[in-house]
Amino acid sequence: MRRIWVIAKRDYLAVVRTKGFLLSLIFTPILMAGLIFLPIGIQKLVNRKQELHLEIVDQTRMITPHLFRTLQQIVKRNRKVSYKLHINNKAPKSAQAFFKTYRPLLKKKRRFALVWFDKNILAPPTSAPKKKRPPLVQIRVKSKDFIKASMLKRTISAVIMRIRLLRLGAVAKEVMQIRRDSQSLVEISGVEGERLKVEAFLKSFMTGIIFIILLFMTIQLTGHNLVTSVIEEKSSRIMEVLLSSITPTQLMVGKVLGLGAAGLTMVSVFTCVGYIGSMNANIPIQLENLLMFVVYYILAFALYSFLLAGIGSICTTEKEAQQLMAPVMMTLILPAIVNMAITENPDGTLAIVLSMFPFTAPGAMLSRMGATSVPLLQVLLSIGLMLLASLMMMWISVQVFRIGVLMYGKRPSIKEIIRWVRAG
Amino acid sequence: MSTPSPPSQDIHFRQVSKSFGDIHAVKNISLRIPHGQLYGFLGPNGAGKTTCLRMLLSIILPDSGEITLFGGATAWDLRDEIGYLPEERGLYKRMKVLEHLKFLAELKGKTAKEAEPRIMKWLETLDLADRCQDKVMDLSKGNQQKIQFIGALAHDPKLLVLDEVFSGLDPINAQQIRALLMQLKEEGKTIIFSTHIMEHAEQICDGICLVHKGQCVLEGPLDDLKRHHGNNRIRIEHIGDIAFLKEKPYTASLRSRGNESELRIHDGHEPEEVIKDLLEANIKLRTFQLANPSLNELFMEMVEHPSEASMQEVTNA
Repeated sequence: MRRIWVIAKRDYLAVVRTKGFLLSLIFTPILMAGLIFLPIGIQKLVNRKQELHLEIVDQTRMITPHLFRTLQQIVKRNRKVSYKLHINNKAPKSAQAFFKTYRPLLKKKRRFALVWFDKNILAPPTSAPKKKRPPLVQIRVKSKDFIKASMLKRTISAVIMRIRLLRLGAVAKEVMQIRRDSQSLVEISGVEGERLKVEAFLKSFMTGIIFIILLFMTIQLTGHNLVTSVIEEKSSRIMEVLLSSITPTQLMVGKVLGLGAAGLTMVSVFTCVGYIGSMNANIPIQLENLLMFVVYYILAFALYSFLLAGIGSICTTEKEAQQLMAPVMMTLILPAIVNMAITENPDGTLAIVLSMFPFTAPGAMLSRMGATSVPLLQVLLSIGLMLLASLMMMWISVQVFRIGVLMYGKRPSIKEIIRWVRAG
Repeated sequence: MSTPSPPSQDIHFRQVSKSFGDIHAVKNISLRIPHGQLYGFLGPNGAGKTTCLRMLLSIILPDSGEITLFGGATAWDLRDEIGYLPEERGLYKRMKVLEHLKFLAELKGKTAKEAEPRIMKWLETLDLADRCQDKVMDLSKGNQQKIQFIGALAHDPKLLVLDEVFSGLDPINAQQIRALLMQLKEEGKTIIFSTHIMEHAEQICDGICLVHKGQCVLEGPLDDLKRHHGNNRIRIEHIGDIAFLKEKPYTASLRSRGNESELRIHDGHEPEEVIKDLLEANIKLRTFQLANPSLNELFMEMVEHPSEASMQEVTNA
């Protein structure tokens, strides 16, 4: 046991003391923060006072004042935009002619949109199909402004509806009252009658994703260090000195612990920085499943680390090792890819199968736990399977490691590896 | 043959074999290394020396046969009593010298504290005390080899196993290590090393094992081997044709170049018989010398005449 500790300590210090470790400890959070906040900052800078100019022809002369007031209210809520209305009274009589004459303004970006209100807008509604009616309000914008124009379209529709209703007289107030009231009649709530919000869904979704990201980062870092370190020891024959003093199992467990601790050191610094950051950015994280989080984290870490240690032992160069590591890392992020499906249907077959299969269980189970109450039996089964898989992986890897670390040159074939495992 | 020692203290190889795939690295080697000796595994590159040492250390296990140390234990039971120097650079390049040596001692169950004075003493002996805070990679190849040597000794082992210990050392450093090995032997340690340079072994070994193609072609105390083979070999400077010696029953081989010949005689015959025959044939002798072969010559001979070698083994026994 003490010798495992000696190996772990050396490997830990060997990684943590390098300049590269210190640099990535400092610069990765800065880089991450930069990636998140820089676009927001730039957008703020660019959008600080976006003024949208509208060129309007209003044949009814009634809509513009209402529109003006509604837009003012929008501006009050959303300070990023402001609207400026240019009321055009000298315009040609037809929409076609209007658009033709004023098109250059749009092109030169001096107007955000050209808007045409036809005099027939306020005529009583018809039941004629949409296709047979000419559009009575037309908005022309550059295609890149489609999203903003859609918002404008919704605003204008609302304004027109209100004007039409108001023309009905006293009934209008009642109608508007009914509309507002009907919206607040319906309520969705959770199993226990708790209020459900969009954040709750987001929370369980994010918990799965964050878990997978953390796990991925730790294993990626540890795996890389494991493989590099095993290859260094092989090529410099330190391996022989080590193996004349300790068993391959002790060596492997020591390395996984030491390098895992190094990876964990880095990830916990990132997590702290990230947590402080997320408190500002208001990213919801669910901490209720903390115990499960830790249990699955450790199990997944053991499973993957032993697998990667085995891979490291049969490779002679880092390049070779990277090629073999790639598919392993893919299985790790598989739950992240199907996370949406798991969160939406946490009791579905896909979710259950993925949460039982040891290689995908951690991410999948955590996502499920965020979204539903998973039966205890399934949780225990999944943990049991992972434990079993980790121990088996350790045993298999030790068999491969034992022989692999003393092989120089050619990489063994799958057949040979199977023979080594059988021999153990 | 050698000074008798309690059998429990010796190291035994008993019919040890090891193959890697189709390659028979070691074939059926049996030998005994007496306690407190300096013993050399000799042979060309790829002969199987390193495999023998690795099996001795339990880094790999033999396919068949067994190796026992100091009274029946395996190397694994005694791993803390063994110091090992692997062939070429077995060091972490980016570690500091002192830290590295402490790590190696800790691996053998010592604490860094108890190992440190000993390590410093060795660093001073080998003129490296001032480099103890340098990184291994900043040292020359020769100095790295010396660090490796101290690494094998840092935990004060009873048995030292050194694979190609002299590689990378200049003559002065090689001499220093040779002197240290002699000193360690005086202190009662058993030292086993391998080399492909016969001169190194010749100067310091008590016993040797010549390995060729995985087989032991010659084994035993060096003095005995030399004396034995020296008695069989006669260098003669003469006037007159001595080809008639080929017909004599004692002749194993005769090689002549002008007036110089080398005669090898079978076991059980004495050089005096040759002198008698030469004088009877009226051959004038300038020189009649029992040649003491160098290890190099012995090795070449064994490799070139394996049948004779095995024959001699039989008569030896």
